[in-house]
Amino acid sequence: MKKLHIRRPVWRGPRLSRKTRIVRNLTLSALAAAVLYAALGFPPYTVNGMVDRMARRYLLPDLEPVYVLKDPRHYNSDILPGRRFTYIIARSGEDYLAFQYNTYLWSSELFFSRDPVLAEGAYCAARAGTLYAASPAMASAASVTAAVETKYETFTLEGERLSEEVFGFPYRNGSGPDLYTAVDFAYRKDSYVHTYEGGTVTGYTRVDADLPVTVTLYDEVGKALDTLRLTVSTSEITGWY
Amino acid sequence: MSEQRSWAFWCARVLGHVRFKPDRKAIERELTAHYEDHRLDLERVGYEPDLAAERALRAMGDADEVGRALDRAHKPWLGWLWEVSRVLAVGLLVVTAATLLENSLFTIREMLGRTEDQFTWEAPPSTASCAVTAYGTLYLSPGDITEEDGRYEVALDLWGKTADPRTDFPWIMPYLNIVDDRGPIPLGQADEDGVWLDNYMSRGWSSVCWGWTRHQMVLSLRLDHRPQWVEVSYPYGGNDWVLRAEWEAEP
Repeated sequence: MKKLHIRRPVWRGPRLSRKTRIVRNLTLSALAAAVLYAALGFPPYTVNGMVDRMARRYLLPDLEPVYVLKDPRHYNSDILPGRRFTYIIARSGEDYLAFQYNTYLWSSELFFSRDPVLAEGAYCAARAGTLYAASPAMASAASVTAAVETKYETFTLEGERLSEEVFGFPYRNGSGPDLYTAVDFAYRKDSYVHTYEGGTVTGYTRVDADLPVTVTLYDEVGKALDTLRLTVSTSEITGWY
Repeated sequence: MSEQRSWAFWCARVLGHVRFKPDRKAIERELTAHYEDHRLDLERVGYEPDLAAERALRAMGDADEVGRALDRAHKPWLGWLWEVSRVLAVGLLVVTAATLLENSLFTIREMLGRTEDQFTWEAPPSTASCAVTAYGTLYLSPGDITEEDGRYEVALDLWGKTADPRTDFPWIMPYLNIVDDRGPIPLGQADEDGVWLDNYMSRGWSSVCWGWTRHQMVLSLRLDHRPQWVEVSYPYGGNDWVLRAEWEAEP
């Protein structure tokens, strides 16, 4: 006797056409993307987006970037490459707003250890071995120097033009005494030893102080045009970000 | 040619017409199921296996015609779009779930909290001082004043409505200029024990409502006197607004 062939019905839900399934998937994707974007704090991915976000947060409607530095980085915990810091100095009228975004994969957020700084008239900060100074007056300067007064000595740095109104002053020469080394040694406070399972870490903390910075602007023949009295913090000078 | 080889040949001929290759296996399974069902049905009603296979194959129709029809139904662009949409949906759902569970800036609870605040906020009173800025509207209203040992804690109720949910409440608190009828009120802070500073002047803020576009905060001034009025301004970016809170004189 022949075996009766019976196909057992399996309920798989309503069978959707391919077009319907595409619409369903794209709708789900859009929803997931919206939740992801909100969960990440609405990350901006472009310089314009970052500037627009800060303009809204600081109520600076005509904020324009005057200097942008894209700095590729890699954390040991990064599985994929592509991390980038975007350091932006922007101006609104006479005021400067400087901030740094940390972008990696789909996340892009303000860098946690560099709070945005809003400064009136002129801006000065140190970041990863370079001192930055910005002022509208720099547009007419042929050369600029910055004298940074530390506890024991004054370092005079030669500036290089980074944009119309921003000069950069590299201060780490890699060998021999430089501003970084001087600050690192002169502002040490407490030594510490941390012992943990598997090893010991020794280190020290530093006094966080604002150092006076005198920025002098010169014309083509070396005549001083203007002098700006600014400050820079020791933690920024010794920082890596 | 055996019936099995005939079927394989027919099937291959049909599939040769289908340009979207990823669908070919599924089509083959479907066609085979139809063919097998028909063949087994014929065997069940008494056909010899070979004859049943031949009849079932003939009933499947012309291979080229079926192939062309299936190719029209399985358009390559639609097929690829389906594949992409599938990968996209699964990928985004996995990334979203992982982000929410692991390291999102806003957790689900915070997002729900924000949504709740957005809809339950208490609108500023009509008497509140108002400043319309390029990116939102700010309101200021006098809050409670409490006195203890000659020290006054003065509350200023501050509201912010932004046009863009991504904006957040403006991060302008540390940069506000605050003056009262006796002069400027500097930015200060209590020490670690919460004890007021020697000049008894400091200001702090706490959030009452933090929605997506609607925010309410309380700005607390700690003063050594009871103010008659307080003015708040923000002297950056061409912002020329001044918010003013006035208290009625003490009876």
